[in-house]
Amino acid sequence: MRHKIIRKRYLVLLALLVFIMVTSAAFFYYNYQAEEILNERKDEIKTIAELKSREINNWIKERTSDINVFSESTLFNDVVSDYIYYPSERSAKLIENQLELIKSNYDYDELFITNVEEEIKIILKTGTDDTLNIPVETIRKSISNSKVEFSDFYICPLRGGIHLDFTAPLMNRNNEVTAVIVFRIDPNRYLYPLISSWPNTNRKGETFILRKEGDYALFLNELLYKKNTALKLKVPITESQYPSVQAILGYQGIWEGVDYLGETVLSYIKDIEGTSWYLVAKLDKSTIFEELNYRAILISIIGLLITSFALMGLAYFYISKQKDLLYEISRVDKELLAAQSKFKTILYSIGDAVITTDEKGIVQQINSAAEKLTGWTEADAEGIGLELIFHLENAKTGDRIDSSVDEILVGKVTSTLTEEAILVSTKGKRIPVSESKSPIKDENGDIIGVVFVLRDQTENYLKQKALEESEEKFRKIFEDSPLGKSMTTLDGKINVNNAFCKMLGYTESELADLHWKEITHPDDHNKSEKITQELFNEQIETATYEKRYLHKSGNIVWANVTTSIHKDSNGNKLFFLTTVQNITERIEAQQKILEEKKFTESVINAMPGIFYLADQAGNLIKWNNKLEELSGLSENEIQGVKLFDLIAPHDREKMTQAFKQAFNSGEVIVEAEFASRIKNHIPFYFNGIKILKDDKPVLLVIGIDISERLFAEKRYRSLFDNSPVAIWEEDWKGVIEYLDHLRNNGTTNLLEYFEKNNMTVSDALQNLEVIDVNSKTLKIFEAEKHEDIVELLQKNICSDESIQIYAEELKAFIDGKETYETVMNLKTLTGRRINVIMQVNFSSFKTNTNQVIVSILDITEITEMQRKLEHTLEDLKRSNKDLEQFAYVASHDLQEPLRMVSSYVQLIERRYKSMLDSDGIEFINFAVDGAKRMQILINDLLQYSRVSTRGSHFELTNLNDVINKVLLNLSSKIEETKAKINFEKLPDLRVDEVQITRVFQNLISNSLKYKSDNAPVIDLFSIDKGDEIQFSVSDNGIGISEEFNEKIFEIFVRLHTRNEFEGSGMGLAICKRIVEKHGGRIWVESNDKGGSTFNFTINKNLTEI
Amino acid sequence: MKSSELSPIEILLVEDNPGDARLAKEALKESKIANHLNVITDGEKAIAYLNKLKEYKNAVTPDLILLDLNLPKLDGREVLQRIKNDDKLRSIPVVILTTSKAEEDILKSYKLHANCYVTKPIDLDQFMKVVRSIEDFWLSIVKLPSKT
Repeated sequence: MRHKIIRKRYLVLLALLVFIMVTSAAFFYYNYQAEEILNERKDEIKTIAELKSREINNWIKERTSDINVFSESTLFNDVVSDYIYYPSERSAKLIENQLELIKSNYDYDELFITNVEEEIKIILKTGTDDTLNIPVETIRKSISNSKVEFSDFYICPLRGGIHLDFTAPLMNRNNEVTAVIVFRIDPNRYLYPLISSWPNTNRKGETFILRKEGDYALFLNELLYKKNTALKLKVPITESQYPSVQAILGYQGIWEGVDYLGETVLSYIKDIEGTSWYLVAKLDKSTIFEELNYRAILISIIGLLITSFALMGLAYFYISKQKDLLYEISRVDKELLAAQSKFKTILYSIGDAVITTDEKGIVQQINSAAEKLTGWTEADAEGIGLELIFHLENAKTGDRIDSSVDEILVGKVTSTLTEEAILVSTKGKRIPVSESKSPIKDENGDIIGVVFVLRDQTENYLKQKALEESEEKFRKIFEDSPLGKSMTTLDGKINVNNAFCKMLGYTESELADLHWKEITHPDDHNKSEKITQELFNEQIETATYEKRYLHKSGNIVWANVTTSIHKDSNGNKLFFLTTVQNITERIEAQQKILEEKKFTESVINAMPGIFYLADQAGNLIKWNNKLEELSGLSENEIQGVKLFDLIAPHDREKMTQAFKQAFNSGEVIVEAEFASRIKNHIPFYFNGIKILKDDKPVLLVIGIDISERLFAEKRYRSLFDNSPVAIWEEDWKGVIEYLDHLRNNGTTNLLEYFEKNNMTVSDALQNLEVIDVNSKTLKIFEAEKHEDIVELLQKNICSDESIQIYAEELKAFIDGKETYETVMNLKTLTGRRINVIMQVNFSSFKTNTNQVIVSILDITEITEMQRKLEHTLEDLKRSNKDLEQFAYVASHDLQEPLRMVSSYVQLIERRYKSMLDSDGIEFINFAVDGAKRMQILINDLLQYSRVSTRGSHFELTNLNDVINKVLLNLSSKIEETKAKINFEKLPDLRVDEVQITRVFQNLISNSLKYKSDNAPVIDLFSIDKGDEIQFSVSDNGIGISEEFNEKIFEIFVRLHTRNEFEGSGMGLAICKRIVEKHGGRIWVESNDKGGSTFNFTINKNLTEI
Repeated sequence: MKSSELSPIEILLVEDNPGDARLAKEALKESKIANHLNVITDGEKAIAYLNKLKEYKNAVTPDLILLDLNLPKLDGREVLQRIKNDDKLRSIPVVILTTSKAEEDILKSYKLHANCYVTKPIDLDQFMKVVRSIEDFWLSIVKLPSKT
């Protein structure tokens, strides 16, 4: 611990500094306070002024509302008005009671009511003075303004006191002012004390109010420090230093000026809302600074106190420091003495020999150990050079060791140490020692001597020698061992022998640079580390285990390893000794076996079927997972069953036989149902082979689920048997052999060969064999037995009749076609001929079977039907043609005799009229008329028939042109009936123009014909209905009863006698036919004009018929 | 132009129906134009007549042929076709007389260049009109310069 000496002059300087700092702080603080106080006071007077202004304003409002209560009370108004007009004692009392209430509660001086002539009517007063000043002006103002008014402060001219009056008008029901109520206030009671009171303790604080009166500011209340001022003290407006003057000049806010006493004041000026008054709050400045000065004295005292305390503190600190220093010095002296004596004691008790010299190398001290070792006494040795005392030799070389301390003394060498030295004592004894020299330095680091330490190493020396011999022996064993050996230091460095190097392909030096982890397979790091740790912790003494090393080439070297930890005699752990035996070959062989086993197992488990080995007794020795899975038995359960137990009961006998046979003949194939616990019985295909296992015959069985195959077979069988088509299978093995035979004999082009001679086809095809035919085949060929049909088919194939067809079939086959199809005529067993479609299917040749499937569909009936149909069609055409012919004949041949009749009757009339009487002429007329009508009938009938016999020619037609043509045709009739025909634009349409013209003409002429008494109006229009167009012909004619709506379209139907309307009754029938030819329909409905509307539709998409 | 100044027109009527033939004759009797009517009753004879074969060796080439369409042996259409294919006969005007109003007849006749087509009317008056229209037709023919 070091102590600073504190000098006195520093302390004085420090004291001075403190004084200056405190003084200036006080000064600044004073200034700050002055400002602060001023602001505080300003805020104070501002707050007071605003407060009072508000209070005065509130006071006025309250008074106004007091009087308003009366002024606005209808009742009070009524009572007073009543009283003014008809004064009565009772009313007076009522009013007085009312007024008394407010007077006593609100401390009014006087309350009175005057009439509009300002005459007192009712009065309540304080005191006994009878004189009363009536505020005439204020009263009048209230009357004229009809509202509350108040007089300013005024001095009562009668009594001399100061008053304030509030006046309010009172009205009758006609809103005429009948009276005025006056509330008189003595300001001394409430208002003046309110104004002049100062809310805090400042003696010189004061507020007052004033108003402008001419060029003066008039004080309205009594001041604190001047008497008789209310409404009397005036200050001229020129004295602008007064706040009162500033107030009437309109200034508001803080004003620093002079007050009525001539004092400098701080004031706040504020107007009073709702009045012409100004309020001034003022404060003498002197009072403000009084306080400040008081504070200044306080600050000075505090400053002085702080400075004195600081000086006192410093003085105390200085004195106490001086004291500590003296105490410390005496304590160190004591310690020094104690240390010196302790050092001596230690030096002489040290087991090692210690010798010290001075800075010149002259011996100073020798401890007792040194005396013993060297043979010198301290007394003898003191003052002699060190090198004279000691004789030291190098233990190995025997050279004299330089004992001089010069090198150390000059600071060249800091310290020396010799481990193995021989000290020759004064008695000539040679003692193995270790020796060390070190410089002795003073506190400044200067060398002041040397300390020399010697240790007797006799015992160590002997031990060391024994150890070295043992190590040499160990090394020899280690190096020459045929087993790999390694020593691994605790930090993982390896030292190995030749065998180890050879094992891993490294040289010894290469391995020396490696960590054990680098030669150990990464997967074995943990294992090795764990064992090492256990050995290190002495949980185990030795560990033997297998591990993988890494050969220099990267290959794995398997080793059997024995490790133990080696310690020195003191039990210090030195290294791990590991003996290593290369077992790579053995391990690899094991692994190979294991892999093969695994492979075999995965193969049998991957099999889709079941697999097992069974001994001669039927016990299961080995099996795959599939067996467990299918049987639903566990491994243990299977061990307890025989293979027959896994077979459905009905197949067990079969299986037992097959099993025996397998052991006899070596192999067996059997189909049997597997008994599964999970599913029902499953059909299986088993293949058993006898093999030898462990010199005993066992049966290797493989079973495959054939349920799908059986199902497919069953399905095929069912299709085959129940097919409505005749099907049979043929085996073409013989045919193929025949064809191969031809090829082998040099026929290169088989097609050509068969084409040249059709008959060779039979040679080829007679080799085929019909295998199976289905029941439909039997039926078609009218056979009873399979054999019959097989024979027939075989015969058919080789018959001359069908040779052409079979030649083609064969060619198709040779060509590689998949199917061959033809229509042919066959003979059944009973000799009946049938037409069939035959299809031959060669597609199974793709799957290397020789099967050909032939199917036959009997089309005899169909062909017969088709023939009949064609015949009928022919008949129909002929019949149509006949009909047309008939129509023509009818038109021509029937008309000719008719013409003869009429013509000659007319000729008779013409030539012999003069010879006939009137009856004769009339008869002739009947005859002519009949003939004419007959002709019309015939023509219409012809037309009707022609619509269906003649084909229609649909062409895109402009229907507007059609209508125009019709109208032209009918023009004379239209003119005659004065008909009006309206038609909108009709669409273009694919129709038979001649026929459609006929329809329109028939319908329009019908409308003209069956007209009512009015002139016909006919409307023609069309509506697009998507696929068809609807046309309508609407008239205002005589109409048709609904019951005839269908009938009128029938042939020769007439609803009227010939006398009423002419006609054959064919027109609408023809229309109907034509419309139907156009894919449409026709119908009639009644319309609201009393007439009929004929509608018909025409298909838009007509094609030629 | 007076009819007496002209030689009568030679008219050939090919008609198998004697009633119609007689009617035509009667009608032509009342005609203002002098005419001479020869009636042939079938198509073969008509062709023979026009070609002046066999018994018609001395036949006069007609100025006008009235041809019925429905004739025995050779029908009127065939006759018309032969006339129009024959250079010597082509110029003779042919009026078709028929009871049929069938469009086929009409179209076919015009395709074969029949000069006129008349439907035999059932009314005698109409028949007279037809004959008169033939007269008019004739009168217009004779006005042609080639004929003078």
